[in-house]
Amino acid sequence: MVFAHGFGCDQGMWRHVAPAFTRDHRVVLFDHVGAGGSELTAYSPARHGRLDGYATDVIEILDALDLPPAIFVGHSVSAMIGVLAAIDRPERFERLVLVCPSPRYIDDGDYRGGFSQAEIDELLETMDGNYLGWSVHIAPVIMGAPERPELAAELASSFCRSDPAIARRFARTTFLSDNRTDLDRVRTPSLVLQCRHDAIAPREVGDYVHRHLRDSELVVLDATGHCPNLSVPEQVVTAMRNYLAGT
Amino acid sequence: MSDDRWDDAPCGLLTLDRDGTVLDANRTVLGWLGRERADVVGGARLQDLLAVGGRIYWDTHLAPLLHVDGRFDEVALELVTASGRLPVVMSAAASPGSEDVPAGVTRVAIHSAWERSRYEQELRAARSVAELSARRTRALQHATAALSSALGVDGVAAALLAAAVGPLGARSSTLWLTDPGTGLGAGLAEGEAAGSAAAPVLGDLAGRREAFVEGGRVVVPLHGQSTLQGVLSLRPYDDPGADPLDLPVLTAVGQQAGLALDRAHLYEQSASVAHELQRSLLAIAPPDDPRFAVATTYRPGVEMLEVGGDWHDIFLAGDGLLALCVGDVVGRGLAAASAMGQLRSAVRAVAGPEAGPGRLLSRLDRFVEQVEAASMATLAYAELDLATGELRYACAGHPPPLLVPADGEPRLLWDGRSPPLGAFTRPQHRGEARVRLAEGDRLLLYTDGLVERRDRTLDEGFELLRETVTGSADAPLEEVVQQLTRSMLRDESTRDDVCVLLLSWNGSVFERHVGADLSTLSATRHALGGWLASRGADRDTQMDVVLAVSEALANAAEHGLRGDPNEAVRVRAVVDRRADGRDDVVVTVHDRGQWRTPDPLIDRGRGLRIIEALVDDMLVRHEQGTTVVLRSRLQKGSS
Repeated sequence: MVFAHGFGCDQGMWRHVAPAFTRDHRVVLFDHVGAGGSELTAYSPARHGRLDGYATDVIEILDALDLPPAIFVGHSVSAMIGVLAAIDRPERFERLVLVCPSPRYIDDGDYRGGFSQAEIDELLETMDGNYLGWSVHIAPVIMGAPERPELAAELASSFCRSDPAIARRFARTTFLSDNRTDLDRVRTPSLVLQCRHDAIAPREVGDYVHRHLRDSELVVLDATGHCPNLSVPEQVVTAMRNYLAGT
Repeated sequence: MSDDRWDDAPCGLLTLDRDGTVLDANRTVLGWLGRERADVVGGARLQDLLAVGGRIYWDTHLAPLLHVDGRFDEVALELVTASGRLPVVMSAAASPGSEDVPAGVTRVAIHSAWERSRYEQELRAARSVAELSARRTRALQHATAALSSALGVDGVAAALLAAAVGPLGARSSTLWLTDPGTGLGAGLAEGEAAGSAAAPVLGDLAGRREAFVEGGRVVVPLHGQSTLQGVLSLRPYDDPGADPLDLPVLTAVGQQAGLALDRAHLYEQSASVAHELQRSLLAIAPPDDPRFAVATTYRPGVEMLEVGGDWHDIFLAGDGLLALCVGDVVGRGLAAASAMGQLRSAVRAVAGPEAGPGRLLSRLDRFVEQVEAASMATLAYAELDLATGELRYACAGHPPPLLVPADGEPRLLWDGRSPPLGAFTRPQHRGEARVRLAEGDRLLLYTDGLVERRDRTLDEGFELLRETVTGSADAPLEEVVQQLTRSMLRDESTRDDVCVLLLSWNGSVFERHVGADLSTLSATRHALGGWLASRGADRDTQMDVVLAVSEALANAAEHGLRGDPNEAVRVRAVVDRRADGRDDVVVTVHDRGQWRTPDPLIDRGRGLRIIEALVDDMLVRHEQGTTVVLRSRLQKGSS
């Protein structure tokens, strides 16, 4: 079972979910390049300018481990990364668990993504212009400054830390991608987990994903926000167990 | 809870439940928001009070941090207020559970950050300027380094295209170079099919010196000092996460590339002047004398555009005294080519019957004192007495000549050696050596590029040279020279210049090779006539023998070799003194082909009949090809 974290944080997102599966599964956790403890030099603007690049990373992990077909659990943007990887190499995937997925964040005609183009532009501008303020919680450089131990103590957690320049590009890749047409090409059975109220991936988006994924189940969690893996981990675990048991 | 300490605190205070719903808010924050308490408390969630950037940030970063760490500190956000956006700094911590605030409730403190925000904006602006400048400097440095180390116009073009899809960040790129007179040449593409980018219209570029966007691509004019040297067109990545192309950097790279192309053109012109100079110096017409034949070749080095300083020369140093020379001037380029020219002229000026090779080299020592660029040149010089076959030779720091006898093994002439020209600190005697050539013997002079290679010792090179030449004594000179350079320089990707001169001394023997295309027939007839005259033959004998030999040559080329341009017919003529004291001219015409029989005998027969009528005796032999032997009495007379 492979867990992939979404935009913003790192594999720590799964701290309350992954342990529930270690007894029955070999559990694989990783950080996307640019996030958490990843090797920053592996980041390539050309490759990681599109979600396919991240999907290739996932496939390379699976190839390197040479696992039997995996259950891929992807949160947020990683749900779509898993979709792309499963289209490319279906034999590597047994099941997809898509937590709060969205194939397109921007409204488009009848499609409701949850954001207008102007709002996403504002977000990206905010990210581009504002990361000095944000960097208190993002930049690893400040964290690692040995000459300022008081900072290290204050920000003891390394959770949610990512390279600012990469995070800005990852934000563009995440929020400007449109992978709606890819959903119809998935052949891997999948579970869609949707929060009752999620500003980033609203209910309509979860329904849309469920409708377009050929062999999928939809479970709506009684939760608010975009991170049920942290806010209601027990619900996530239960939904996954039920789904996997039913197969 | 709504006492004054809470409500009138100089900062905004809120409490939230787990999903961010506002449980309470003080007057300060309500004042900022311009909203009623009832409107906010119990209904709104904190993220709904934030501008969209902060709203998403809340969900992707802050909510997870509250879950995992139980707090976050000093996060810069914007509140949406009645009068616009208010920059704030927010800290939040989950309550451990107290009398006032039960566990699970998050306490939030918000400070207005107008001033701090302005200061931060300035910092951010300064930082982004610094980052941009660093990024641009890096890209420029990469591109400039690649351009300045590129060699020639092709090299600059390749470096520019590589930089375009490398440090300059284009997905693909096409480059058009300006052809003088015809406008832009064909596009060179990197990462896309040639022709996939629309060729720019030169008129549209008039006066444009900066990179600009057109049709989704970036067009960069490449201006040199005085002319437009070309146009670069770059296609950006269209991926969501891609960085846009940087126009100011591309403008700067375009200027660099224009100047680099200027330099490359100048360099190639200078290289071609040097090539031209060298070619004209090497294009010598050897003296026309039937007693010897010569073949030469010059192969320029392949590593650089520049010419080297190798040369060969052959001239008459006196009556019947043939001078041969192969030399090598240190260095490359125009300077080396011009020093070579001067040294070559000096050799011609100094050579003469009274000098001899050793003294000639000593005089050249004095010459190179004046011409610094020719100092340390190496040289093999030989003088051949065309009447007797006596050869005097000397080598100044140069590889030894190779003697290829008509009968016997080739051997290197290791005598007559001394250091390179100008190597002595004070004038010293230079030695020379002698050897007598037999008729048909050959002498090979060459520069070190022929034998020197990184992957073998010099001795191995000499040995290989000997082996390669062995068994070639009967092959046409041109063929031997070509074969020699081909096999000696095989697989050599970085070789030096190579100069080769191969001389055959025929003595009283006349020997020529005529290509089966008969392109040199006329010259051979002329030479044979001259040789017959030099043997004292009268006018009639000259005409009859030349005509008979022409017929035999034409037969051999047409029927024996069927016009194959890679094959040659060998003509050899000697004077044979018979027992009765009479002199005969004996000419053999040999080809390696098989004459078709019997059908063409009609044609051939006609030719043979003409020959029979012209000479005293004729014989045809068929072994290892076909040999026609003609014999005629040498009638002496004034010609």
